[in-house]
Amino acid sequence: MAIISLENITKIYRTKEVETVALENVNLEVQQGEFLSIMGPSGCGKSTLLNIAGLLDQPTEGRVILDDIETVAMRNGELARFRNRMLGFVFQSFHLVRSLNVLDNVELPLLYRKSTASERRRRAVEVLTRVGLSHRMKHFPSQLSGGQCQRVAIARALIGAPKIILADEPTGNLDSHMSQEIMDLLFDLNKEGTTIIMVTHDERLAQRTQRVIRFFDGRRIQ
Amino acid sequence: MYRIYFKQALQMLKQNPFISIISILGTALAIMMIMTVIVTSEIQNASFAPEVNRDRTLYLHTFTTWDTITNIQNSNSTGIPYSFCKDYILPIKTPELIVETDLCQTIVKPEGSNDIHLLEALGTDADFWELYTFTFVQGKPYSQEEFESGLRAAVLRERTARMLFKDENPIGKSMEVNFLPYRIVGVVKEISPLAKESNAAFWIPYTSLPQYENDIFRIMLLARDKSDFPKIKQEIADVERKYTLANPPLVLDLNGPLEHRHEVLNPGYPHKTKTEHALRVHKRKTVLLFSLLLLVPALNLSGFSLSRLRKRLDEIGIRKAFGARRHVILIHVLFENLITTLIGGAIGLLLSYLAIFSLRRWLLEISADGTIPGQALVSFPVFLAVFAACLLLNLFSAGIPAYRVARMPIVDSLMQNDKK
Repeated sequence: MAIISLENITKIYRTKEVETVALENVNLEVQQGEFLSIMGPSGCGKSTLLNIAGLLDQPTEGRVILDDIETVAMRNGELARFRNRMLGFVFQSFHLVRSLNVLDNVELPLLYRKSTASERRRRAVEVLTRVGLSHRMKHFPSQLSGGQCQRVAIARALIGAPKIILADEPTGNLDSHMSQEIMDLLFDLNKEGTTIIMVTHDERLAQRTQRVIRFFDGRRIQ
Repeated sequence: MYRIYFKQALQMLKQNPFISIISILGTALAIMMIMTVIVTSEIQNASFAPEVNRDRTLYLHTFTTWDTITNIQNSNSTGIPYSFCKDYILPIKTPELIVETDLCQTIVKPEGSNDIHLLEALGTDADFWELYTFTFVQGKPYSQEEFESGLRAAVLRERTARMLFKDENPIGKSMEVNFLPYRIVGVVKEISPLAKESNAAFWIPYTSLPQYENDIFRIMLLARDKSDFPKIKQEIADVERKYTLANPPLVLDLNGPLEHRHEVLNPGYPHKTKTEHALRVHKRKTVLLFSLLLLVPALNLSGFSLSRLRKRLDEIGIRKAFGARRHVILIHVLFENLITTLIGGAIGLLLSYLAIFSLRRWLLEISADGTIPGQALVSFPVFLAVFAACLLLNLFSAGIPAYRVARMPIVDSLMQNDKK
C-alpha cells in the first residue's frame, strides 16, 4: 500500500527575469515501511521533491497524497497539524535550536500537540535513550559533536512517532564512522515499520536501502 | 510551552550579552521617557496624606456672571463669594463634606519676639481636618464649635513651629496674625509640597478673619463614592440655574465642579466651555505625546528585532516544519520579546524615578528638598501603566517583524541556515 503518492509533480520557481523548472512531471509511489534513497547531482531537484513530499513546499502542479489523504488543497493550519502527526524531518545541517538544550530541542514537536509537560519529558528521555544521548540531555547543541547533533535531530524526528521520516542528506556533514552510526539508527527505525525517504550523494549508503531512484535536471531517470 | 519560551528567552539573553544589553537599554530608555510623563502625572493625581481623598473630591473656585443686557462679564477664577457658598453650595445634600478654604498672606509675629514673618495662612472650616488627614505631632485641630465661634486658634506645620518658636513647645503659646492674637492649638507633621490644596504655613478658622463674609473661597466637595460625581455635578448645574433665575439678567457659570485630574490641568478659564475645550486639547496632546514616545523608539527597536529574528529564521522554519502554526510563532516571538521588554521596563521605571527626583523642580514645580510621597510613586496604576507601556512597545517593536517571519515559507526559512 502506497503511503506516499506523488502524481505529475512539477515545481517551477519564478522570478521577474527567470523561470526555473526544478521538477518536471515527476511521479513517485512509496510503500509503507519502505526505505527509499533519492540520488542525483546537486540542483537536480532531490531536495525540492523531498520538501514537497514533506509538505514543506507546494508543487506548482500535481497531487501529493499522503496516507490516502490529498494534501494540495489543505490550508496552512491543516498542513501544520498533518506534518506534526505524520512526518519527521532530519536535515544535513541538523537545524537544532541553539538556545535550547538537547531535551527541549527533542520535545519541540510535542509542543504543538496537546501533551502535558511530564508526558513530553518522558517521551524525550525515552527517545534520547534510544539514540544513546541520555547523558547529554542538559547540553546545548554547541557542546555536542556533529554526530551527536544529528542523533538529537533524529530523536526530535522520532518523538512524535511519525509514520514517515524524510532525511535530507543526514550524513552529509559527518565523517564515515558517524555516518555509519546514523545510518544504523535509520535502519533500526525502518525495521520497526517507519517509512524513510533519504536524499543522499553517497552511493554506498544508497545501495543499503531497499530502493534507489535517480534524478537529473528535475526528472526522474531511474 | 511558555516555560520553554521563557527558558529560551533567558538563554538567548545570556548567549548574546552585547545585543541583549543594547536591546534592554533601548527599551529601558523608551520606557523611562514614557514613565517619567506618567509618574509625574500620577504624582499630581494620586491620593496621599494628607490629601487622601483626591479621587473622591470635586473642586469649585470660579465664579463668573454675565450680564445678558450689558454684555458685561464679571469673573473670579480664584474663589467663590462667601454669601453664595452659604446660600447655594452648603445646602447641597449629596456630598459627604463641603469644605471651604481661603488662602491669605499674613504678617506673623510670635509671642515674646520682635521678628516679623510673611507667611501663607489657610483659613478653613472644621471639616477641613476631616477631608485632609494631617498627622498631629502636638495638640489637635480646632473643633466645629471653635470654628463657629470664630475662635482665634492656629495649627502650625512643624517647620513653621520651629521657625517661630525654635525648640520651645508652641502649644498654648500665642502669635500675632495680621496684628491679632492667635493661640497655637496644634502642630502637624511636615507635608509634601505636592499636597497643593491643603498646603500652608499654618491653618486658622476662616471665621476668625475680619470680614470673612466679603472673602472668596475655594470649595472642595467630597463625594461618598466616585459614582456620586454625576449627581453632585447635576446639583451644581441646578445651583447655577437657580441663581440665574433669581438674578436676571445675570447668567452664572461656576466652571465646574472639576475632578482632581482636571483641576490639576485647569488653565483657569472663566467658562465651562473653554475649560472643557482646553481639557480636550490637552487629552489630544497627551495621546499624541504618548504615541510619539512609544512609536519612535518602537520603530528603532523594530529594526533591531527584525535583524535578531532574521538570524533565527532556520529555527522558525524548523518549528513550522514540526507543526507550529503561524499564530503560534507570532505568540512565541511576542512572548520572548515581552520578557526583554519587561526587564527593560523595570529598569526604565527605576530610571524614571531617578529622573523625577533629579528634575523635580522642573517637572513638579517643587523645591529641590521637597519630598515626593512614596504612595504616589509606587502604586498599582503606575505598575499597570508600565505593563501597558511594555505591552504596547512590545507589540509595536516586535509585532511586524514577527508577523513577517511567521509568514515566510518554511523552505525559505530553513535555507537561511545553509546560506550562512
